[in-house]
Amino acid sequence: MTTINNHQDTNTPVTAPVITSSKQPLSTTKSADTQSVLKRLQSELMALMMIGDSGISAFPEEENIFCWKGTITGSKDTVFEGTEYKLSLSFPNDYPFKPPKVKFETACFHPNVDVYGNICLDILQDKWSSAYDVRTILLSIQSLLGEPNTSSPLNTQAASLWSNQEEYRKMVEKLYKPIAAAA
Amino acid sequence: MNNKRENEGVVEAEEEILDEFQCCVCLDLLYKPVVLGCGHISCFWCVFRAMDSCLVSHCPVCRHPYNHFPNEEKISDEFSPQLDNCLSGSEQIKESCIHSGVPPHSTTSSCNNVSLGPCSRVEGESESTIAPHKDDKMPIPAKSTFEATKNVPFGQIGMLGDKFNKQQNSKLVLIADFLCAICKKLLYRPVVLNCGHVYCETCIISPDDKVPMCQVCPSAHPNGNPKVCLVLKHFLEEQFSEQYALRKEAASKQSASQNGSPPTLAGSTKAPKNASWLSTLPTTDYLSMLSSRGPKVHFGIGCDYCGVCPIIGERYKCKDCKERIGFDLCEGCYNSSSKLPGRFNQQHTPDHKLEIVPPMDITNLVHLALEVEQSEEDESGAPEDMEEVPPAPILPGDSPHDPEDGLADPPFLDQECTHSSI
Repeated sequence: MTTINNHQDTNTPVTAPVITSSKQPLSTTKSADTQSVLKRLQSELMALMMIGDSGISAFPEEENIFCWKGTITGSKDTVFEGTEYKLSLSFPNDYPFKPPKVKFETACFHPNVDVYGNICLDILQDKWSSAYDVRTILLSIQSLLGEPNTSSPLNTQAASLWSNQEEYRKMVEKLYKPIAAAA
Repeated sequence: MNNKRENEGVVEAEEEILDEFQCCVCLDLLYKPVVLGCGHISCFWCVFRAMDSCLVSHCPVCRHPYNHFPNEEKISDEFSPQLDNCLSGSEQIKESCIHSGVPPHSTTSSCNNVSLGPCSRVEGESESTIAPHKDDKMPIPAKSTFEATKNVPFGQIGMLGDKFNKQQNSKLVLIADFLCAICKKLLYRPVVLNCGHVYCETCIISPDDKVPMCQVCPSAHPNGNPKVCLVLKHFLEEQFSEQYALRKEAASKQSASQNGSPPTLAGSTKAPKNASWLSTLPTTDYLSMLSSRGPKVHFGIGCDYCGVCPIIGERYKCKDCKERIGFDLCEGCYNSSSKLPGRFNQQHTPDHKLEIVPPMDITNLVHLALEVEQSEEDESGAPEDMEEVPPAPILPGDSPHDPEDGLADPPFLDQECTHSSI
């Protein structure tokens, strides 16, 4: 057998999955792909709404189920307590076999988040598993907030400040722009 | 089904089934379930697409490493149409979705394409597409089940619930379908071998860590002892609670009379220490291959008998199989006399000629991956043999002009993080 998986679609989010009446083989397979991704994302959305975790939430953007907006709140007893962060998730055509692109929309002063909101988290990269979903991603990011990996930081300033939790908390407060303001 | 109360019961029962038999990848009902060595269960195509065809694959649930694509679990295939209905009920649903989603003038083969995503191009190619396959998977009793569901409003719930009822009605038939091929009793702590056959853990796993050999096919189970498939175990416990309890009692008595150690964990805990485990997981082979010593590694090519992917050592490619997915064997399977069917319904017969094919050159792989990427942009899109270059960490001296940077995947390398640090 020759494996035909791992195809590398560019990760641009596709627009709403429309079943066209085109007879071209490509569009057939594309829509097939899209169909199964769509189905999975719908199941995830259902489950998210049913479970109703506190501290995380996510919902698709208008008209495009391949782009979601999520929010996480800083866990209790961490320097991020009381803050709330908005994230964007964009799902590739071969989700869940490839991870979604996840970025902070709200500025987040954190050793593993850069100024553009990019997150360095292994499960969003090489440790991705197709059994992960939006919920586990958001929970992981939430716990990453309180337990950063300071050995390979994206934000070196944050990493060096992490040892001083009091100062760090001040910095978080200083740089924090609540969602309403950021949006 | 006309009775309202009855309907409610059906809905409840069906939800139970859905939870238990949900695939962790597509979040849908399991379709053609395969069981990995760690005991986790997923759909055939979901496992196939989630596999890393160039390096070691990992279980989506527990990250347990493996490099053999298991065969479809055989209980649902051979033994029990009832369980089959229950496990692969989504097949019908999937198909219905397709029909609604595809323009009416499309051909059957394009319907099949839609149902399974890109992988189905493979099956679409072969003579036996899903439709005929389905026929042999759904013997007569199954058909009657489907007929019975016809007056139920369409949807997963009605259909499955009905199946579930049917299943309970035919309990006596069922228990005969869940016997271990060795002890001929109800499966107790079922383990599924790589070939898809199911045994009691205590029957198939020997205390002295020998490689488990299937008594039906016969083929060896790679990479240490398989673990109990909990989904199947729970199913048996629920369906045959009395009989299962008896089996449990007998097993604990037996172990007490032997040496007092619990029989159940004897094999599974030892698995990682198994010698065969270390020798078949090929990480060292990759490295030695890249430094052009050691055995050949055929990135992206899997063996159609044992499922090992990528093939390490010689690759035997069938010259006569017309299917696009091709038919390949690893050296071990080529030399063995086993006559298993191909995993993708290839029409391979013993009189087909096989030839030794050298592994693709690394530079070719890179070119091919680029070509595919480009061709996916324009309309032809049909992927050829290889689509992905092995992830960079194993490439010695990363090519300096890495052209696919940027349009390829999200960064898979740890060092990406440090590169982009501020």
